[in-house]
Amino acid sequence: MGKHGWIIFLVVVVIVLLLAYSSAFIVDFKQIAIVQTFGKASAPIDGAAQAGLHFKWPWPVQSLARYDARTHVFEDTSGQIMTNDNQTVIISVFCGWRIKDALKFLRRLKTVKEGEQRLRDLVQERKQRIVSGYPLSSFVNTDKDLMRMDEMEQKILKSVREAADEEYGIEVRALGFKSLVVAKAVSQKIIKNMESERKEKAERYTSLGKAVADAITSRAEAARKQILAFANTRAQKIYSEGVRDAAELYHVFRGNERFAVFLRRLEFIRQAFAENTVFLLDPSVERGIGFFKDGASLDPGDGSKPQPTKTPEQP
Amino acid sequence: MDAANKSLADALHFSFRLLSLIMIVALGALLLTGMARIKPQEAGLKLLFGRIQGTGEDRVFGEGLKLSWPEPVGRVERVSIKSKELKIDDFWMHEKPDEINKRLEDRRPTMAGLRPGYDGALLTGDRGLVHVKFTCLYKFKGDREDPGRAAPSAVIDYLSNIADPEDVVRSAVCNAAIHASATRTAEAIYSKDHEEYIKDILARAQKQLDDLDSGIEIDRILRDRATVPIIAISAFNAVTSAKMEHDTAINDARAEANKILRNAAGVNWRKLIGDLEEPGLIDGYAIALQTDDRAEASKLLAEMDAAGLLAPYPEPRKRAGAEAAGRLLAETDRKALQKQAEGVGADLGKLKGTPGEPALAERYDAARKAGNQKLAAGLLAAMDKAGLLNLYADLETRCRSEAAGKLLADIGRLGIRQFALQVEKAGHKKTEQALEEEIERIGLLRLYARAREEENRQLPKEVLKRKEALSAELLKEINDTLMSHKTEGEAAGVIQAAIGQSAKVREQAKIQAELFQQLIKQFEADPGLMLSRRWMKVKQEVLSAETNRKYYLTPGQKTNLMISEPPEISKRMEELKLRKEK
Repeated sequence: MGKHGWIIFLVVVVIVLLLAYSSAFIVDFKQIAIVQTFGKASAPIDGAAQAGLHFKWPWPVQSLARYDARTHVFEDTSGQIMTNDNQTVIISVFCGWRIKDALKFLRRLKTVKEGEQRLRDLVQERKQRIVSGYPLSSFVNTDKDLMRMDEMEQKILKSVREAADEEYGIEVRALGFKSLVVAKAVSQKIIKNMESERKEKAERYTSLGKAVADAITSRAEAARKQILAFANTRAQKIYSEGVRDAAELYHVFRGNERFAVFLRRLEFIRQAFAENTVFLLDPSVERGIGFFKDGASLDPGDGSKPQPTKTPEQP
Repeated sequence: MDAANKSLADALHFSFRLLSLIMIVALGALLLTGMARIKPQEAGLKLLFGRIQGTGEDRVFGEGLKLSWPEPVGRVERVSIKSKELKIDDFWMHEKPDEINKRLEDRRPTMAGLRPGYDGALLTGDRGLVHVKFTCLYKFKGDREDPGRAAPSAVIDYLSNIADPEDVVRSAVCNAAIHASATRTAEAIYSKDHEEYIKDILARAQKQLDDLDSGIEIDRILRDRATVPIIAISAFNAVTSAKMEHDTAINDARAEANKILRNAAGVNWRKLIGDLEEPGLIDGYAIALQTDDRAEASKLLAEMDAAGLLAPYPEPRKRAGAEAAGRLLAETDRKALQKQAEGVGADLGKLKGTPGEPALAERYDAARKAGNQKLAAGLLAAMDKAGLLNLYADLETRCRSEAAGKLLADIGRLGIRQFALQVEKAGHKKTEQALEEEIERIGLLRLYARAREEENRQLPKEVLKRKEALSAELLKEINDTLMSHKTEGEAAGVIQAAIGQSAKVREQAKIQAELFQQLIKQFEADPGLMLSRRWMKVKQEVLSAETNRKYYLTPGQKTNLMISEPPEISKRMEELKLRKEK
């Protein structure tokens, strides 16, 4: 082949490549593609089942629209909603969606961005309508039987799903509340309530603690008194037994009661005047002491009055 | 001309060579696009014209060098299978940079309420607000045979279905957190015991991800931080402090009570007094009936049943079981019944029956109709064991109430200790043990007081005699306990003092009796001398005592006696007098 032959060959190769590039297309496993012939769309090519190399006529005969078939998630704008008991809540919703009917999607919407926007508007409108039909106690309640959040989400999902499918060929796969708060003024009230409830609770704890503590110590005191009452009764009995035994021993005094009485009196005197006693004595009664009256004198020993002993005369 | 043509030809030749070189390099680069190195924490798929190559588990491969057709014909799609961490601050308050490291208690709130759009929060079931930060750890679902490896189906699901995995996980967790918080109190969320709360969030979020065929598995959700709004922190801390004070006050009171009672009777106080705070199951039930506290009565009935106190009374349960069997057989909505059975933890197998074995209720009915009482009784017991009676709360409550009524009547008639003996003889070990615990809780003094109260009632002679004997037995036991070496403190002091005094009195009497017996002999030998000697001896002792003073009065002279008392002695005398009068 001459020089010109090579050039011609190269040009032909380039043209063929260009034609191939504009005619062949790949549909990925994550995509859906639609071929349009002079603007008329043919059946979508779903990458899940029909991924691979496909061909079309080059533009302007045929053009290609390609969409991501996966699930996308967006969060709608938070908006204030008045519940049916006049409480203001601010709710945002997340929505997981994907293109189900690509033909319908293509016909109704230009781009995915537009599709998402339409869906957002739908979600907002349905959310507003449905949520406003419930009281706040359906959103938050310690009694699970009164909770209706699942019901609300299901209603919004069902409503949005039906509309999105019918109008745009969009499948809404998941929908739920992503944030749920209250308006600032309401939150102020809530926080104030929280504070006053806790204050009450704290006071209750303190007074209850004191009351229970007092009750415990009172019961303990009462129990102590009971124990001591029984102990005293028992002690009395023990003492009585001792006294009874002593009384039996004292029977021996019956042998000579007068002598026994005399001894007891002596014992009494010994104990009563054992210490710190002042005696005022009359020497005339105490014959031994008469020794000092007008001089010492011996007790005659015969019961007569003692005579003063004369002072011995001086030689 | 030749020169011109030659230079043109040279230029073209050069251009051609250059172009060839460029094309070779480009071809080489293109071929390199078909080579991929998969790292250890990655998984890969081979694609040919966008279609996944291979079948089944072979579609996904692990680390190594992989070759495919160069782009755009083919490519290797890579995905990280490393566990990922997602911080979720959607429910946290807005923080200025200088506040982040400050303690919450030290921060000053800028305003009383929350600013929507800035401050995130969770609404709680008790109409409260909490700020929470979460961390979510997620990864691909594990392979069944090798849980450490990502399941190929999970990888494909993930790549095929999910465009924004982080957004999907965040949305699922946020939604689950809102639901879990909405039925709980603020305390349940920010307190230390929040495992159930996190479990609920994880379960719900995972379900959401599974419904989307995401192939994602949530490994763990951590509650990093949780607090009430800053302005309310002090009020919440006040509750914590008050609770601590409450607990401290009660603990201190218990310690004080223990001290008082130990000082009173040593360790034996428990035997005498029983439980100072809790009345026990039987007494508690009796009090609940008196005060018409049905909830408390119902709760105590269940506890009494669990403790075995109602075991000696099987008849009410048998009747209730028969009625339950009748209701089970008549039940048409089997699905609702099954769901109910699951809810109360009943054995579904016994309820439904199996191919080889009909349901217990049916077998019971057949046995009853055939007149086989023994088999019927056994099947009733089996139904009870399988928890089928729990399906009918009203029957359970009724049979427990009846049994408890009989228990109270028997205890009232015999006294709890006699009843316990009877139960012991009948061989109800569990009931016997439960009754012993009840008796310990009541204590000897209360048992004695009850026995004495019984004596005051109008009762037949034999019954009264039995009651009196019981009181006497209890009193003996109380006295034995007081006299025991384990009894210390005041009670022991009182008794020891009495023992000491009693011994002293006896000793004194003994000494005096012995002395008297000695002296009587002397007296009988020479009364005058004996009396005189004794008198002189006492006189001598008394008059010569160191602290005694003697004054001899001059006979015939008038003597004036002036007594002055020091003021402190007068005061002491007055005090003694007053004390005596009191």
